[in-house]
Amino acid sequence: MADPKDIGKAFREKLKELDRFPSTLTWDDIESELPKKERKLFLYWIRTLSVILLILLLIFKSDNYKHRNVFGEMSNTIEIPDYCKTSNTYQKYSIGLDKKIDGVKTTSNIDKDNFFINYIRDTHYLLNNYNNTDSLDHKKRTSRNIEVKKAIHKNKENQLASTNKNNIEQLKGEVKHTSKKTKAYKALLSNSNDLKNVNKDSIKLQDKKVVEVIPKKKDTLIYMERIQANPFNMFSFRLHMTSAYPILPVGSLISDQIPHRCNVGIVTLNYGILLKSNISKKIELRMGYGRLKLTNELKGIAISELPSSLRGLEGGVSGGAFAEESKKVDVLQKLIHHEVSLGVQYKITNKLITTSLVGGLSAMVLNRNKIIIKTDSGTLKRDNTNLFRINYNIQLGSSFEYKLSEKLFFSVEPLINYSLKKRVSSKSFYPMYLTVHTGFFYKI
Amino acid sequence: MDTKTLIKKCQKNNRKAQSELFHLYKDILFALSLKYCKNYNEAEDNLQDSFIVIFKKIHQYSFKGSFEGWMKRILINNAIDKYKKAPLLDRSFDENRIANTDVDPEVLNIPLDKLLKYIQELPDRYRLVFNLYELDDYSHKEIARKLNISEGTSKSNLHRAKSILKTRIVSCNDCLKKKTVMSNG
Repeated sequence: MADPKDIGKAFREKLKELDRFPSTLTWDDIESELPKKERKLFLYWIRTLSVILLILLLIFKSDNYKHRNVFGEMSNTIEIPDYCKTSNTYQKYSIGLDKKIDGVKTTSNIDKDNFFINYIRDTHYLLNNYNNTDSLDHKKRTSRNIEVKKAIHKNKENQLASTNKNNIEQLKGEVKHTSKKTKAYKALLSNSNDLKNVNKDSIKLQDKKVVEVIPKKKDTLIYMERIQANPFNMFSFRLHMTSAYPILPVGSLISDQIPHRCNVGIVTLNYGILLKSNISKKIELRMGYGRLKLTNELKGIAISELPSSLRGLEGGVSGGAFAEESKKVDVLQKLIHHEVSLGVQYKITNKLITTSLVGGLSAMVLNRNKIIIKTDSGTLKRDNTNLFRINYNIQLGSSFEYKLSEKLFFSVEPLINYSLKKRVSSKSFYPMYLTVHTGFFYKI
Repeated sequence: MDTKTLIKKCQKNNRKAQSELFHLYKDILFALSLKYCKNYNEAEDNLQDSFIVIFKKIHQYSFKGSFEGWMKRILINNAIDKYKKAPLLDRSFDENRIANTDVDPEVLNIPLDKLLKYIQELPDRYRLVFNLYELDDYSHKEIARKLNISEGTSKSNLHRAKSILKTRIVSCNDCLKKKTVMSNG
């Protein structure tokens, strides 16, 4: 008879030979329970389109800058033929032109009366000295006209500027040189004290609709082309703080593991940046990045209710297990995302406070997913794995911008975010959260 | 494809690799699951749940230590999670009650299915403690932590489990002997 052996060791030896096979379990049973594969292709396209859009914005913007520089240079380097430079008219004109250029550059301080007089003077100078319109090439004429129009546009609140604008609209085809205008111009040059009167006379001329005057055969025509608004001609960026609050219609972020428990959202503070550009007068394209933290809390959960992963019983999870099952704990879940958003903004009102409607899509990449279990004796940190790494949201809301200065705006933007895809594998949970972006826009 | 490559592909959520991994380890893990569960069906359920957890958590595996061991721990933890809520058998460990749990190795010459059945028929807590301590080399301290019981309770549960197993095996042997005598007679 062999020596007695501990029954445990004896069992161990015998059961080493055990080999049994699952008969009904198949790979399909497992696969159906696994989270669906992330659509990496979709994500790839989102990233690619975002990059392309950013590049396009930069290209349009740099193009706009280039044009500005050209205008600036042109306004200071109008070429005047030598034979004209000796004349009194040129000298007087050039003085007026300098003032005008200054006026255009510092639009807020522009002397509207003088501007208009300069405009008449400028026009008349050209009429007198450039009988051959080919001597001033098309590009230069156009650029000067653009500048005049810009100055007028920026002072559109002013009635005089408004009249000028109307005048330019009428002159989009041709400028008509009439005998009355000549008279006004002569008075202008002969006696500077009469400038104001001339100005008034000129306005009256505008009011009487210059178009009705049929040009004489010898009149010189200057063609002014209508300037087309450049898309992406306004570009702005905003640095903002974002307060986020999860609104949870059903279940909780950890409802997959602790079902039928209602939780409470906690307001968090985040930050981000938003780039914006006009695509029309009322519509703006938006692209943003932000760090977004969403926090929820479940209070008074019995330890026995917690799944093993939160109690530290599963493999791969660090931390110790709880000693007493009857105790109640608070469970806090913190989710930190990188959010990239793409959207459109539509201006409703454009007064002291600009109000707009905002809509868009955002992709959220889960960066950190921590569950903190608070007990009387301290806290334990756990990982949670029931969330998708990438999630897509619809964003809807409004934007309010208060003008602080010409280029600086204070902005408040409440948005509702609704997840297109379930964040967790729970069947009843579709996360929704409210964000309020508060920050400053700087327009370039 | 070697195991490391397979794991890396599984970490990238590659379905084909996951399927391959499943077929590679399902039998080994099922044998383990049978020891921890009450019957064949529950063992299959436990295996299925464990594989789901394995694939969800496989990105946490950092290639330190045995991958098979890592999977086994997940399976065991799943089983523990399932059965640990059984009524608490919280009798303190009493050394006076220790009976000799040694057996003659010859008495274990009974079919493997029978031995497995005896383990499966143990009360849940006893079965968990017996398996963890005797078959999977956990210490009483680790068992106590996993099952949220004291070390004394763990020792007591183990002893009772062994006592029950010994009683059954001995009685089974007696039956077998009787049958043999009857068939010879």
